[in-house]
Amino acid sequence: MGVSDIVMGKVKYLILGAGPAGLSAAQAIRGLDKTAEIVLVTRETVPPYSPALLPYLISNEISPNDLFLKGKDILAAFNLSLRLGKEVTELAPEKKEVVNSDGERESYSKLLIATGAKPQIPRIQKLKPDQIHTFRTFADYERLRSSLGQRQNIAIYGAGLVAVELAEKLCLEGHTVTIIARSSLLRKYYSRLGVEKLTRMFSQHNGTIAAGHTLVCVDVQGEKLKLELSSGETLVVDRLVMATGIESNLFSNGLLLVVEGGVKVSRRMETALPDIYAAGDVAAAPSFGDGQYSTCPILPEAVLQGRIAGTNMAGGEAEYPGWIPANVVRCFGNVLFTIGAVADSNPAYHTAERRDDSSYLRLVFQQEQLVGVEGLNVKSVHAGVFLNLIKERVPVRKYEDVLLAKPRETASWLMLQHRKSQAV
Amino acid sequence: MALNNTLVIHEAKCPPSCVLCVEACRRREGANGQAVLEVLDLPEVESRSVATCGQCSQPECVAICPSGALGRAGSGAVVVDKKLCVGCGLCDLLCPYGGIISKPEEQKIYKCDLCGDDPQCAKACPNGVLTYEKAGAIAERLQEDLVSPGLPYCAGCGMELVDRFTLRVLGKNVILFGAPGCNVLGAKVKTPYYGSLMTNAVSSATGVSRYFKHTHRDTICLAIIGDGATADIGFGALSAAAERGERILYICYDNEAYMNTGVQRSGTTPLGSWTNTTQVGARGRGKQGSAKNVPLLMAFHQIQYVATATLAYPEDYMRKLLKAAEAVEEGMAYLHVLSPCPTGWKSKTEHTIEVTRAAVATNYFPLWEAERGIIRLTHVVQNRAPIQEFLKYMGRFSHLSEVEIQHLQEHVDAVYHQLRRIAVPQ
Repeated sequence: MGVSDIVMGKVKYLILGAGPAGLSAAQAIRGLDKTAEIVLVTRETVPPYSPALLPYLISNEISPNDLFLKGKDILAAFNLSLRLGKEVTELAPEKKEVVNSDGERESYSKLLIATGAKPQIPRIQKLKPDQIHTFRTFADYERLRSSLGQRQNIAIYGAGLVAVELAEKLCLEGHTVTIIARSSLLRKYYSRLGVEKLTRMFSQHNGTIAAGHTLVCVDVQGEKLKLELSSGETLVVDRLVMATGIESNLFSNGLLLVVEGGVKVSRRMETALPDIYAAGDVAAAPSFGDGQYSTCPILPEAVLQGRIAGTNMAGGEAEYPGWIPANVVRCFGNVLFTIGAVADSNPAYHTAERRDDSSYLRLVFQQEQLVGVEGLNVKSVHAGVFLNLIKERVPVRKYEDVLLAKPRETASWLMLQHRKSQAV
Repeated sequence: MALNNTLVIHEAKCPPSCVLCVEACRRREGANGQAVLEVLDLPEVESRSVATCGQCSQPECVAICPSGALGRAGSGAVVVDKKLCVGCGLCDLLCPYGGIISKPEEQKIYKCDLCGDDPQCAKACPNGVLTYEKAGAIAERLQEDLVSPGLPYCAGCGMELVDRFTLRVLGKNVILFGAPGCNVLGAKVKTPYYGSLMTNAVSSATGVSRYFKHTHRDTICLAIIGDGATADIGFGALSAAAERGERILYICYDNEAYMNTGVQRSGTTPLGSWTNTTQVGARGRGKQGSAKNVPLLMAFHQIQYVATATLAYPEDYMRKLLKAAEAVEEGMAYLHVLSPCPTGWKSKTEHTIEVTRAAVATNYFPLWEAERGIIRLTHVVQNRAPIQEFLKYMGRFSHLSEVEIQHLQEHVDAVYHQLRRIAVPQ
């Protein structure tokens, strides 16, 4: 970006993708540059929205109108341009241009790749794309919604967060749902106690978990689908939804380094190519814990990475502290949250736990600091305070007992003490 | 209308079992019986207090909220629009202060909105733990600007920044000594001010600091004096006070002439500079002699601490002020701060900071410190810029010929090399 570009007012920030990462970046850029052109390009045909809300559309807790409110407000308030229905397929960094599937070229002074990820479909015998649903975009939601009748029999292949959230909403709408889990429910996130509890609650709401099964074959049977599982069992269902993970939307024709499935970025969200950044589900950034590069496709990291990328693109200085996996799942009135290093069995970690019939709290320490927390139905605890104790590396180990006994109060007290110690 | 007040939670000394604030919160109109303020009852760590939303200036909850339910009201408080909230709980996953009250069974969150502009909790607290105060007053207390607004200095005055910055760093526990000049502060500072004559500011400070030592009071005797009184008229007394090791923090703001009386040359006016008493015309070519190196002279008094500093390097200046404040517990500390005067230097008011940056980059004003006479450079310029890069900003040098500039360049280089020779190796 030359001085003449700035002088002539010709700076143009181009953002590929209008999801949470792209919007967050656009807002950060506008905060530093009041006059430059900021353009978001998306292959979707609707205004920007947060995919996290899609399950709530199924249960009618939010209307499509409301879904687009925040995105429209931001476009207007921050003076952003949006190009709908354009999919970028080629990167031409020597010319500082991208090319879309219509052959149109779009130039940039600085480029952000925030194209996110798409559902990953495993190879299954006889499976045809039009037989399945995915649940990632608004278009996916509309397709599923229009095909849903009353009291349908729905199978969801996959047992991650998307599968569980969608399953819950479908059950609440009166459908019968079977989750086909390749190992166990939410295996990556929760321990056995949490999984058992959830399984019980699903069965109280017309839900079944078929754990430890792989989907081997999908056949058509009249208006329905016949699913053959690895156990030999067959299931006849009206609809099949694939929720077996995601893969990044890459298109850079080999020009960008891809690591662990994502575009590798530095702590400034820069790729190896000049003036090109990446953020969100598509980016492989370093982790908070050990600096390993990988994607962390959760909303809080998309928003933070977008903000840091945008700040650096517009001439500010921001450094990414690294991603910390964090999730909260609400399912039939149960609240499960998991933050940081809960799954690893690292000998350097010290774990402390407290459990009863209906809840548990697990704290994972590394020396003086908290590195992971997991909680199921811990009354009134605020997960965010724990996340921030981890992020700010507050030494809390010596309060382990009080933390377990009174987690809400102690975590807040520790955070406030830490803030006081930071005050000049 | 934006709020001017803020909820303050004072020290965690709530009486045991008092929940009056929470009950008042629960009884709010439209609260649905749900309090958004929580007690933190921790006798285990001798703490009992309350917690609620911190009303962050950059709220992570607002940034993450997928539906835009969380936003900022016209009052400035962070509020939730219940119609748009689906209870996803992402806000609670990010908030560092536990300000989000999640109600998963209701599929909603609740949070503090300061009751509009009239928090019920503060009204209900009888113990002074929760109060509702003017935000401006708090900011003042935490970050007090000890110099009054509306000072009658010239636009771009470097000395004004010296005053504000010095007092901001050193704080209120000072007695300020001043001499006639631009920096007569009197009614313009919120610290005690002792105005003396140009000959004896440091003598007055000696008497007061001896008294404070006698009464075990740790208030710093701080003198902020111009180059005229420092280098010329008051130098004798300054040298004597240094030799006695008086506990005085002396800051010379050097604008290189007697500016207040209409720009007359002083002992620190540089070679070649125009002033009203070193005229430029048919015969005059500006000041013919070089300047007195006051900070170096002070270093040779072997006092506790000496340093040079200037406006373009605030972190360095701050560090030196803090070092000086510590040194003055034992003996004398002297700071020499290059302080541009656009009026006398005939420079643009918006170039005040740049001029000081150029002064350092050309080695015209090297940055160093000395502890008991051991000199150490604190900023080493790798490839010094030619002196023209400094001169170009100021009309007081605009008459200089190529030869005269060369002369000045050689002089600046010689002085710098002399400094390098006596400083400890890097």
